[in-house]
This record gives sequence, C-alpha cells and structure tokens, in this order.
Amino acid sequence: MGAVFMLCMSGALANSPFAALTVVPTGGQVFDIISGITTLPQGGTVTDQDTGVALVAGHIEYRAQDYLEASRVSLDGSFGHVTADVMRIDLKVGLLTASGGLRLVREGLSVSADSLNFDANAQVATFAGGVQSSDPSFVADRVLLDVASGDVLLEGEYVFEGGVFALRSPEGGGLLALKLVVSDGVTSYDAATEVAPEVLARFAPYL
Amino acid sequence: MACAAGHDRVVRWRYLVVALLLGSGSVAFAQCARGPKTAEVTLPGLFAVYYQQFRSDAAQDTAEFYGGVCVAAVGGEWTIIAERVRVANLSTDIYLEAPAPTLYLEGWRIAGDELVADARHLQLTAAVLTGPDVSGRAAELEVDVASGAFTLTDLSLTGTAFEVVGALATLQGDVLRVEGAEVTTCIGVEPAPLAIEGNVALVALSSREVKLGGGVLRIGNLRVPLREDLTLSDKTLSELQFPVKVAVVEASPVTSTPTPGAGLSVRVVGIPLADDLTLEVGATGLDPEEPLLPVALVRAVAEEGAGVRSSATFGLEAGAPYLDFGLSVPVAPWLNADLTARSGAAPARRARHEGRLALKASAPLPFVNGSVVGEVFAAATAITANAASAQPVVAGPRLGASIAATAATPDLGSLGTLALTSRFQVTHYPSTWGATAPAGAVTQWGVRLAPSWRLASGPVSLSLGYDARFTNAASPFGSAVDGLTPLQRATGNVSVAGAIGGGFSGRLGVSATYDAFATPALPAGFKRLRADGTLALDVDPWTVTLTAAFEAAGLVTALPDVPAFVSLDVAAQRYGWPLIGTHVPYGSFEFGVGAEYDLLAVSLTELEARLGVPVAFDTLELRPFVAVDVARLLVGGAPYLSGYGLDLTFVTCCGSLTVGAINDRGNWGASVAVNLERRPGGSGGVSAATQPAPVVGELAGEGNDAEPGIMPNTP
Repeated sequence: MGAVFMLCMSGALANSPFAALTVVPTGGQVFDIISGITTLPQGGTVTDQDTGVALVAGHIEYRAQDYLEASRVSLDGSFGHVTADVMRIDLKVGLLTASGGLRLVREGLSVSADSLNFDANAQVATFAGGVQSSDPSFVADRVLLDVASGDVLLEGEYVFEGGVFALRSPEGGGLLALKLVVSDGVTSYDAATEVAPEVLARFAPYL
Repeated sequence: MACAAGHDRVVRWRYLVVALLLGSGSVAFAQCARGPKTAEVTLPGLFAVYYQQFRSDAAQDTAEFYGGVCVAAVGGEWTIIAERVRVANLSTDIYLEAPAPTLYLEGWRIAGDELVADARHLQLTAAVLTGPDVSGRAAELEVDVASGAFTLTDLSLTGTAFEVVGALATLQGDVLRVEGAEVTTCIGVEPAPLAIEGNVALVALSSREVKLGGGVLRIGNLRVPLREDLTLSDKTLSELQFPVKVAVVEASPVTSTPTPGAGLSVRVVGIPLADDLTLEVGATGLDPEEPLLPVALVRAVAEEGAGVRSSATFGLEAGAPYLDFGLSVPVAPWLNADLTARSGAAPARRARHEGRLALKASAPLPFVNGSVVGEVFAAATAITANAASAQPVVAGPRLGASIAATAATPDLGSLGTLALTSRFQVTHYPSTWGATAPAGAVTQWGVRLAPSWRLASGPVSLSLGYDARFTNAASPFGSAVDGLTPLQRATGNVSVAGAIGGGFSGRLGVSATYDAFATPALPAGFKRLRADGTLALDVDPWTVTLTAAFEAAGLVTALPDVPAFVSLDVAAQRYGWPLIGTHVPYGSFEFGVGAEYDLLAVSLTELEARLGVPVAFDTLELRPFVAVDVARLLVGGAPYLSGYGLDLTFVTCCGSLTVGAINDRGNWGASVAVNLERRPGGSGGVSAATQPAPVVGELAGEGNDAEPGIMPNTP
C-alpha cells in the first residue's frame, strides 16, 4: 500500500469540485520536480473527499491544482458508474472528459458513447458520438444527462424505443426530452419532443 | 321554393367540402413521410405515425402526437390526418383517439368528430364522406381493418343522380349494402316528394347502380309496390315499372263503329289496398273517336304453401264488369291442375265468359336442350259481341288436349344451331249454339312443325326457317278463342352489321318470306323479298344516317297487300343545339328527307321532309316535331301534314320527366322518359332521355288456346 497524498486546492479552486482529491497509488509513483507532474505507473485510487467520487485507474498522472489524467478507468459517483479507456479531469474548471470504451450505468440509464464531458459544476453530462443506450433503448447523436434529476435530452438524429413505440427523429435531427419517472420502484421515462423551458434552460449551454 | 332550397344545400355542401379542404390547413403540414420537421414512430405490423410533436405519460399509460399528425396503416390501407392523436393503453390493449380527424380509405375522404381505432377497427362519429362518385354523412362509421369493410349507421349518400338514406349500411369494395334504404332522385329536397323505399339496397358506387329488394315507390304519402329485385341506375330506368300505363288499342275484330276500350287509355296501376291486393284505375277512349269509359280493377295474387297459386281480377274494364279468377294446384312435381273462371271483355275485344279446368304436365328434355308440355282441358265458353251483350255469338263446351315439344342442338360452331318447335292439338266441341255457330259436334285438330337454323359469325348472321301448320280449322269459336289456320311458310335472313371505319357503321340485309303452298286463307308466293341497309356516319356532334330499302315481293307475287317499293331516307341529328330558349337543350335537333316509290303503282307515294327542334328553358324543354309530305304536289295535289308531335320535358329537383306524343301518318304513339341526372339550371345534354316509353301498343287480347294456328299479321 502506497502513501496517501492530498491534492488540496487553494484560492479559486477551493470551492470547485474535485477540490479535495485523495490519491492512493497501487504501486510506485514518479514525481517530476520540474513540471510538478506525478505519475502512478501502476495506477491507484483517487477519491474526492467532498463528493465521494471514487476513481480506480490502471495508470494515473496528475498535477496538483491543475489536472488529473487516468487510463483504464472505473469511476463511481453520484452520476453512476463510468468506465472508460482514458479520462481527464480539469481540476481548475471542474470538467471531466472521458473516451474510449466509455460506458455509464446508473439507475434507469445505461449508456455507451465515444466521449463524455461532465460539467461537475452544473452536474450535466454530455455523451457524444454513437451514443447508445440499452436502458431505455435509444441511439442518438448526442445525449445530455442531468445527473441530479436524471432527466435526459436526446439531440440530433435519434431513435428512441419506448414501450411499444420506436420514435425516430425528423430528418436532420431534433430534440427528445426523457423525464425520469419512478413509480412503485419502477423506473421509466416520459418522452416529449417539446422540451420544458426549465429543462431547456438547464441544457442550453451544452446544445 | 323547394328546389332552390335544394340548390342552396348543394351549394352549401360544396362550400363545406371546400371548407374542409381549407380547414384542414391547421393540419395541412401533417405529412405522411419523415421529413425535416416530421418525426416518425412505428408500431411494427400495425401503423406508422408521422408527427410534429410527441409526448408520453407513463403514469397514464398514454402518448400523444400533436402539431399535425399522420397515421398510416402498415399496408397503406388507410391514413388518418389529425391535429392530434392520443394513444392509450400503451401497455395493454392499445388504441388511438383523434378529435376532428380526416380518414383516407380506398378512395374515400372521411372527416368526423372523433376517431377511435385499435388494431382491428376504426370508429368515426359524425362522419362526412367524400368518395369518387358520391358524398354524404353517417352518424357513425366503423371500418374493419382486416377486410376493409365499412359499416355506417344513419347514413345519407348523395351522387349526381340520386340520394341514398339508410339506417345501416356496409361497404365492401365498391358495393354499399344499405338496410332500411330510401333512394330518391330528389337531391336536397326535404322531405323528398318521390322516393323508392326498400328493405335492402345494393349501391354500386362506381357504376352508380342501385339494386333494391322489396321496393316501394313513394310519391308523397302514396306507396306503390314495385317488383322484387328492382335495379335503378342513373343511366337507365328501363327496369323501373312506372305506375302509369299508356296504351293505344285498336279494335279486334276491326270495326268502324266506336268500340268500348279502343283508342288511347291511361291507367294508374299497382295502387296498394292491402297485402297482395292492388287497385288499377284509369280510363279508355281518351281520344275523341272512341267512347270514354272508366277502368277500376282490383287485382289480388296469393301464393300458398306447396306451390298453390291463385289470382283474381275484378271490377270495371272499359266501363263493363270484369272478372278473372285463376287457381293453380300442383298435383305432382310434373303435374298441375288449373282452374280458371272469366267473364268480361278485354279492351276493344269481344267478351268472353268461360269456366275452364285443365291438367298440365311438363318435363325437361335435357338431352335435346328442350322440353315437353302436355295439357288436357274441359271448358264451357261463350263469346258475346261485347261485355254489355247477353246474346252469345257462339257458346258451348270445349274439350281439348295438346302436346308441345321443343328441341335444339348445342352450338355446332360453323354449322350454327338447329332447333325444332312442334305441337299437336285437338279440340272437340260436342255442341255449340249462338248467333253464328253451327249446332253439331265438331272436332278441330292442328299440327305444327317449325324447324329453324341460325348461324352467327362475327358481323354476319344467317337464319333459315320453315313453319308448317296443318289443321282442319274447324273451331266454331274462331280465332278469338282457339281457331287454327294452316300455313306453309319458309323464311330466310342474311345480314352483315358492324363498324366500317372512319366514323362509318352500317348494316346490310336480305330477307325473304315465301309461302310454299297455298292454303285456304293464303295463296302461295313470295310475301317478302327485301334488301335493306343503313349507313351511319358519326362526325361529332352530328350523326347522319342513310337508310335504303328495296322490296321486290310484289314484283314476283301478284297479290294484294304484297308490296314492291324502293325507299330512301337521309336524316341528320345533333344534341345540345341550337340555343333558341334560355338553356342548351338536351333533346336532339333533327331533320331529314325521305321518299318511297311504289314499283307497282309506278308513282312516288311519299316525299317527306321533317324537322324536330328543341327549345330549352330552366325547368321546361319543348321539342316540337313536324313532317310534311309533298309527294302529291307531283300529281297536282297539295302537300299535307304527314306527321306531328311534341315532347314536353319538365325539369325538377328530382330529375326530368319527358312525355311525348306523335302522330305518324295517322298512327298515334306516346312516350314517357326520365333523366335522373338533369336538374334545373343544368345545360347541354349530350344524350337522349333514358327511359323507353312504357307504352304498350296493344293490351292483351282475349287470350287464345290455339297457339299453332294463329295467322301472322304480316304481310
């Protein structure tokens, strides 16, 4: 078991997500004193003290108060469970990006995509590139997820299979809002092509 | 003005159709294909929905498409256009609801208040239907998706010629079956003054033909039963039996004195009094030369079980009492017993008072394509000069037997068809009395053999026949009852008919009638030896017809009443012209010239010019006709009016009625015609009135038991 390092933020980053990451290396680590970059060749575990986000990766590289990059990543948090080949967290702006074998699994939603951008400040995840979901079943050009409410917005060309329907977007794409509904412990979605203004406002910066 | 109201309704109806088309503007952008603004959802195997907006409600188990929606069946059988479509019971028995939808189905455009549909049925309330040939409305419409069958309740459909109203209807393909149907040509008139009611009506929408079962003609509150399985179409009403009969009857035997029942008669027939009981009223002798006499006859028909049929007619015929009763009882499947009793005179005939009992046996002869009928009868008969006379001309019992058979070969192709008609009859008169009859016993016999051959190949038709009638012509009752006359007659016909090309069509024929052997009543010789032909040229809008005939019988047979002549006639006809009145006429403009030259008298017997000119107004059209013969001018005489007549057409909201009368060289004729598509304000017919005149030239005579020996009237 390696040493525990605290990536404590200061100043402007003090209130940002990922402000208090605890890194536990699996094996050794290399610290470049010139660049300030720490590399964990055998990976390790990174935990956000505030949000409880836990990241396990086969390889980790980070620079305090700047970024963290990891590969062969498994990430658990309030948004669900994410696996990806590579991941980068911009510690200064609170942005998580992931790609390669990307998959998100959370209650009522199981999504795979080419890439993921997660704005930790807004708690909005954006999946892009061959987005596919098996629960519920849909494919879309882009998918926005409000990780707090569970609401989903399909954007661009999409096909959504909800119950007996197979909804197909207009040519050139459109929007389809999926509102998470939990009834008697059963998770489902109400679909609507007219997006509620508050939902649209929440997702607008990412459209 | 009822008709104007009808027109207003028609106009409003047209506006409504236009409004529906325009009104669908709110959903006009609903397209039935995926596009830049149109999304698509499919229910595999059921239908596809094309929509602008969509929302689902998992808690309610519903979804809603809106902003212009098109729902199309997977097989394309039907399409629904609506502003919004709600889908309910998503997780169980799914169904659609659509307010104010428009349904497109097999050529129909159907709007309604509300649509409910599942995988098997479409239900539409307050449906407004627009079809390729008819339009209308129904309180409810249900469509069986699998079969495409429509079921409509409280429907009203309107075509160009008629309106159909019914309590329940089903549409399968092109045929609409309406129960509790009322069909009227009075479109847009409430209530329709004229309608045909039927238990069931079958409406062929494309051909616009209506078949009615158990039809009743309703004129106001008067109901006249029509025959079963009546067919009504807007092109022809030839199968419609008018309740009015017009007839011109000549006296028989011919007499110069006024004869009861002779001349022009008009009768209203089939007025129902009770079940199977009708009344016939009218008058005979409407022309000034004959006595005007009333007609009031009650007719009853009954059919009991086991094939027992009875009929009775009683009342006044041409002002005199009349009774005719018949009862037919089947004794065996091949044998009937018939009892008839009769007292009275048919119009312009001698009176007959008779009781008759007969046994009639019949059997088919399928191996020779024929049948055989045998009969024995016993009758007591008296003939008087007229119904008012009590003194018999001849009276006495009659005992008779007859057997008749027909046989024919099947079509032998190039050899044509051979047929044989034969009959043997014998009648015994044990004793007769009266003003002109002998008192002793007499027996009359008669044999008829009539072989014939017929061949039709393309435009060519050939026929040959021989009619041999042998009899001793001994009936004291004469031809009025069962008098037989001998005959030995050969006939032959050859004709070629068809289109020639270039707008020409024609017919050329040669026919001959030759009495091979002299009989007491007829000398031997040619009675007809004629070549005639017609050449017609259709050059729109004109039709020109040339008719020529050459009769040579009188040249080779020097007998009275055997003519020899040459005739030639040229006529031209055009519809929809000239515009003399306020409207374009439907009747034809016609003019022609004709001549006939008597080869025996060596003189021109006819040289006639004729003209018919239609004059049309909004609700009335007249077509006077006049013909002038100027042949007498050539021999120093004066021309005379050889023909005249008038067709009067009354144009109503229910169609048009044309009544016509014509006098052609002293012979009167009358006609009635109906055009169901013609309405006031219409213009420019291109076809003649469609209804052949229901005029019978001569009413039934006294009846005659002696079929084989009746002498033909011609020549």
